[in-house]
Amino acid sequence: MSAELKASVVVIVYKMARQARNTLVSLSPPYQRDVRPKDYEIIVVENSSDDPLGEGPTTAIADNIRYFRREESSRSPVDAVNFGIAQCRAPFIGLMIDGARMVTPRVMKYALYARRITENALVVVPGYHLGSELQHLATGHDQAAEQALLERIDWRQNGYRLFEIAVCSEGNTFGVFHPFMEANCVFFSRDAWRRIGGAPNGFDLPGGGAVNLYLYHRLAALSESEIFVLAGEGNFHQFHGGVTTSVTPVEERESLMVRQKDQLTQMLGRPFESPKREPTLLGAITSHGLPFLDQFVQYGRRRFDRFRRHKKPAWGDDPNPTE
Amino acid sequence: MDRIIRDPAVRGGEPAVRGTRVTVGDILRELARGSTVTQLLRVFPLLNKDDVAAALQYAAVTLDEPSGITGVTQSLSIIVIVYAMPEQAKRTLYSLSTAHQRGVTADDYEVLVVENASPRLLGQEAALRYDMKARYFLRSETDRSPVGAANFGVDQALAPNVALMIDGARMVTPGIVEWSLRGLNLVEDAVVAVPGYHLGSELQQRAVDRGYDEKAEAGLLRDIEWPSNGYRLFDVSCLSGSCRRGLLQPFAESNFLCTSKRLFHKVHGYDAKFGTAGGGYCNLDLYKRLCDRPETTIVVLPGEGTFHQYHAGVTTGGTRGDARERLMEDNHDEYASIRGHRYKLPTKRGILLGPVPRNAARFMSENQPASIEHKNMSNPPSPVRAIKQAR
Repeated sequence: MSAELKASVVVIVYKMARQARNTLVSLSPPYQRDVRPKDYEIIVVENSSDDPLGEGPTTAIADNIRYFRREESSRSPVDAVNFGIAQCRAPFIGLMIDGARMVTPRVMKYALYARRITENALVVVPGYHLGSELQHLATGHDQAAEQALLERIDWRQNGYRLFEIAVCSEGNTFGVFHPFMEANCVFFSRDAWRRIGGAPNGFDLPGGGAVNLYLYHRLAALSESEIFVLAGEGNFHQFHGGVTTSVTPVEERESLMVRQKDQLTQMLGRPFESPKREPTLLGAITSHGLPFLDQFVQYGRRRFDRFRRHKKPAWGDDPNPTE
Repeated sequence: MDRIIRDPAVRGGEPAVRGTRVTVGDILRELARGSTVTQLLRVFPLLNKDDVAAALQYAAVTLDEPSGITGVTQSLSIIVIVYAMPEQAKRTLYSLSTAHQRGVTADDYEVLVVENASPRLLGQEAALRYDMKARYFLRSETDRSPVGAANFGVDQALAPNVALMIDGARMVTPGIVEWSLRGLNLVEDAVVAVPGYHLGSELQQRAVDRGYDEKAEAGLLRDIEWPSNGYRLFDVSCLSGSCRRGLLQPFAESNFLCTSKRLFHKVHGYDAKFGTAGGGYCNLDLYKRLCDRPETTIVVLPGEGTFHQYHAGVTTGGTRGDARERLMEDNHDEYASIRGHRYKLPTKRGILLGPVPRNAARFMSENQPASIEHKNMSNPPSPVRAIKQAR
């Protein structure tokens, strides 16, 4: 089997049974369109909690899922990430560090397309939050409200309707013509992962702190990386009381963000900046995703005009941008 | 030749038999060791006799190439049809050359210039002076349509894929060859479509009534310092009529239309029944037939473009006012009489591929106000009115 495997997708799960089930359904055939189950495997790594997904319910979702449960004492998913990636049998790896993010139906198809174009593909799926505002600001948004939204759009039939009930994540608020801060559904080569040295244990804050920003930053900084953005696809965060995505007292969240930022600076050896590498757009745009793309074009034009006024390159980290 | 492909993901892009990892070199080496074809088929059970024949033919053609570089062959043959447009064709050919194209080398593609004879000839010498592998063919065509020349060009193509430029007056952006090749390699039966633009702030068939001409166009190109950055063509252009709904909606045609030769022949190429001047809807017809086949995947390059230069083309400025209206109706009628129904846009959704330069992003939405950053048009000729107003 592994000889034919083209991609392994690692999903980290902790205390989010309902959300993870949706995520795994969205990653599986037949919801994922135009790919064969034997083209990829899904590696679920679950850290023990009082709301476990469990092996039986997980592997019942699809034949190409492998399940691993870990008794993890750390508050960080870093160990689970490194463990999960060590289980991957394909040379092309997808990572979803927060198992609460559902995806649209052609994420696998286009990620594999990018890999066909180059072994150095770094594929990013833009992130969204379910609901009408970012979840840590949304006082009326809870699991029941979200469930109702999901039922209303019958997402299993057409996952692109997730766009109808979502807003952009903070990591990519302005869309595909701005540098992404992080990637919550990201694909890269095993070789690239080896070269950045995996996820460092130093990210020991709850939820891993800013490890996700760190990983994307390091992967995007590899000179051979080519960034592909699946502009018509998305990953959609479900509410699950996550460390930074749920409402906590403002001061508490802010203090945590400061600690995260300090740790990130320390691990990178310098202050964080979103990688300014020019993205390659890949994929078809559905009518459901079109309003977001239209908005991204407007944001992008403003950004490009601003950079041009200041005579600065819009993609300053790119060795060979198109401008 | 269609059985032999070059895929960067297979054996480092060495020419190999489609659907296998067996290279042409593997086959030649086995035969050189004295194996018979029967023995060879035992060594490589995925192959059949036709594959072996295709590999030998491939090797023979490669040896015949002017460069004489064994084992290197182009992946794409670009066919440029030229008729009475020498100055425009020169810029088109320069834009296709390795001096302007990025991410590719001369080994990746060849350019076939097929010129239909006219009093305003480009000629072989001018056609072959650019940095690229090129061949020139002069045809004493009596037909008013480019269809014969285009089909002839495909017959001459050495590469397994062709890019059809039925109107040689269209300059291209610097990543068009690289991203077309990547698009062609994405899936079997890929059709790569590149959006079309007109130089100037409005379609040339309208601009010409306001005084747009070759001189005004030269001014635009000077303003953007072409060819120092080929992507700045987006700054001084508007979408062609065939793409006027923006890059996210189906196009009516592509003037850099890439397919495998196999697929081109499968749909029987350009249809010679399109006999009107300029070929009428022949290019729209071919594109539509390619789109309408269930097995094809349309790959759109949103960050690249072809840019029509003014050259008194049949429908792009050479015919004025009422006469043009009548001509367009004739083209429409010709299509209907050949196909038995009125022309309708293809409906297949394209897959976007490629980086989008900042100058091109505005064309992704339907509402495309001109660039507000094109500041050096201090003395613009009249057709750039819209650009000036937007500043």
